[in-house]
Amino acid sequence: MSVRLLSSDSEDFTVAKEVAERSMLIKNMLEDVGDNDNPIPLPNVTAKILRKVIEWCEHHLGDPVTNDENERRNTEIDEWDQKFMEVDQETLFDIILAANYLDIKPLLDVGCKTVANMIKGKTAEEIRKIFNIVNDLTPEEEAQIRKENEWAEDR
Amino acid sequence: MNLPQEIVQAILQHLPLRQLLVVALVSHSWSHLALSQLYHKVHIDNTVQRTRFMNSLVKMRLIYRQAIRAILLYTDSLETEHAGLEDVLPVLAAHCPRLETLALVTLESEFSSPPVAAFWKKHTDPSPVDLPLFPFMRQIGFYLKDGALDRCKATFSRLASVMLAGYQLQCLTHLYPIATPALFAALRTLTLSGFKGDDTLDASVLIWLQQQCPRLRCLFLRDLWFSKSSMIASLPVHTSVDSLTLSRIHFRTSVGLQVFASMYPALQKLSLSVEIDHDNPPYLPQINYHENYDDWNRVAHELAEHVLNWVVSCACLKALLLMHSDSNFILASVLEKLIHMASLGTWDCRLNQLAVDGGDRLQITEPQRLFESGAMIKQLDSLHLSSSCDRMPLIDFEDFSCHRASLFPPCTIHPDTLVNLTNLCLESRASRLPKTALSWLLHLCPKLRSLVLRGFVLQPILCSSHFPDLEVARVDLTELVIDQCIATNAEHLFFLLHTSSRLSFLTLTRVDLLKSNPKPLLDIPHLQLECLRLAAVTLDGNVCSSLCLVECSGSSRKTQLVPPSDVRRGKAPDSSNTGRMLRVHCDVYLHFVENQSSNCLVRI
Repeated sequence: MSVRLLSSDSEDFTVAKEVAERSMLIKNMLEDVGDNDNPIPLPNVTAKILRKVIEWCEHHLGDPVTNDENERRNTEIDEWDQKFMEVDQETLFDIILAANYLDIKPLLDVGCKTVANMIKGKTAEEIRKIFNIVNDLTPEEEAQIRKENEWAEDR
Repeated sequence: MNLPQEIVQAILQHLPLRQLLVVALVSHSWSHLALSQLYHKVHIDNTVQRTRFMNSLVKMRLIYRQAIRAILLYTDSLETEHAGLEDVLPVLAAHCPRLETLALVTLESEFSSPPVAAFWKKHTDPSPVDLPLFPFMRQIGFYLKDGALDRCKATFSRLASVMLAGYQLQCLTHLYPIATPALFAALRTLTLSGFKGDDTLDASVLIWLQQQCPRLRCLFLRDLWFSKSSMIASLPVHTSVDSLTLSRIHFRTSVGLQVFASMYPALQKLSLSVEIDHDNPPYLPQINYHENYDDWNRVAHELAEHVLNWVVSCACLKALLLMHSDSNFILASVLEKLIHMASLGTWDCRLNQLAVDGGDRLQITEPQRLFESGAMIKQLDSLHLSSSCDRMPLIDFEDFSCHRASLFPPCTIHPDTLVNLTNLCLESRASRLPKTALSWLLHLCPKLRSLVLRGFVLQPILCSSHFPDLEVARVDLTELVIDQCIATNAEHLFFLLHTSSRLSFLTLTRVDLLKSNPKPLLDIPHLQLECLRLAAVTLDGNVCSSLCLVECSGSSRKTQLVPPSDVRRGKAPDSSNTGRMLRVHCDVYLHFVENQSSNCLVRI
């Protein structure tokens, strides 16, 4: 059985039901609508991103669903996902936003872990550059933050 | 490219502590997110670090001290740690105002079964009787065993509300078999739950509770096995308890329930969910009830009989809550018999509150008898029916007849049956929604003050053959909650809201409004609303992209609410298929408006 999805730029996608149901949003919708030929509008996802998301869902079709918070947090990103996430930064962020909107927790986790890996080992200045953030902390504030959290430094 | 805060927060969760410290120096907003994450749950690995943490804590800004909800102290041994804690606890108490959990964790205990054993709950009554050290303390780590229980004894007498695990209570009964004065002198609420599979309960524990908790009023028991099947000859009567909840209490024979019935005959509120114990606790010899179906059947019948006698003998019972259990037969037969006895007049029913949770076995529309006989239901002022049963036929929005069973309440109901109701809550957790009509409910229950509908399809009319045109009576509703519903005619719903002149609490959440105007307007400026809550509203299947709230009082202030974050996060609004604006014309005194979150969006 297949499901039709409509991206924000009105491109029609036909995917297998099991694939679409990786998204909790779509799954819930389908449960309520029943058999229906109308496409599901996804006003927050462009065709480009939706294609990526579907690709991911198709690859991870057989994955077991884990609800254990710790397990989800601790597992490493597998090789395929690492390759999959090798995209430009804007696309990466768009995928994360789409995963959040469509409620695909494992994909959101992979996205967040990828961004977390981008942050790891970077200095504050480098992080600002990546995310295009302006430093609005005064030197005094910086000093205070350093001092307050000294206890956690050495471990 | 800016990510919304919730995503940044999700990203920070994957960072090690050291990196959080770096992130804290990025900018104001990132600093706040990183430090809140850092302090939410503080892990302290060793005594050196503990000393340094305590030193920083006394100088730390309040905003981060308030963020601390849990402290986990990793230790080698629980014994040595106890001595060291004497100085630490008062400092923590003074500087962590919102600490909820304090746990000592040894490497060993981290891998063993539940590290949480005792919860100490903050007292909610106006007269404060708090745990002396931590006002917000709900939970003290599992070290509250033998010796610790003894050391905390002094504080017991001040606690008003306690949660204990079954085996902890066992421990207490062994430590203080006969304690004078009573151990929990001020205790009013006790929750006793089973954590391990073998947490048991017997008559002697109930007697001990009666002696040690003289002021106990509410007793909650859940997930426990009633072990002793021998009946003690003269059971004392625990008169102070007026509210008893038995949630998933397992009985092997019906004697256990008799013990409860004879100890608590003066209840005003009784909530029941009992199970016949075909899964024995591990140490008891297994009885396979599937093979001995007659045995099982006999026990079920006896239990139902005892429940019935108990309910009937509680002369001042005001509230009865029957929850489903895996042996659903008990619920159905008890309800059936009670209705029968009430209609015959052999039971002097004084209930004014009834709740039935049919679980996944009993449909919400099923207690037909309840509506047909009317005897029990007529004097109720509060009725709560819920069900997660999934046997509804598919819905046809255009079908306005009652030949399908999913209409609720049924058209055949006597018009006087529900006239006294002031509170009505109908909840369907099934994925196929039953149908009802607001105007029909309001017609049946003219005194209704509070109405909660969850998981329904709301039609403008209930049934075209019986009530082709129902006139809307005067509406006295003060509180209306519509959650997870589909309104097949938005304009009709808006019109009803418009005529509800006394409405002061309105909640529309996860509601899909169909057949709405191109420019939908909820026009309720004349209502004295105290609280308006709108969340995840969709219009004809489209996310409602923004709310325009026009307040009419005084300045005629206009509030244009930002579109829900998940809509905003997409590309620029595209006129063809993005959501539309819902205008709300109202006069709100204290409002709380939101329209958020894609994952709780309603079904189309």
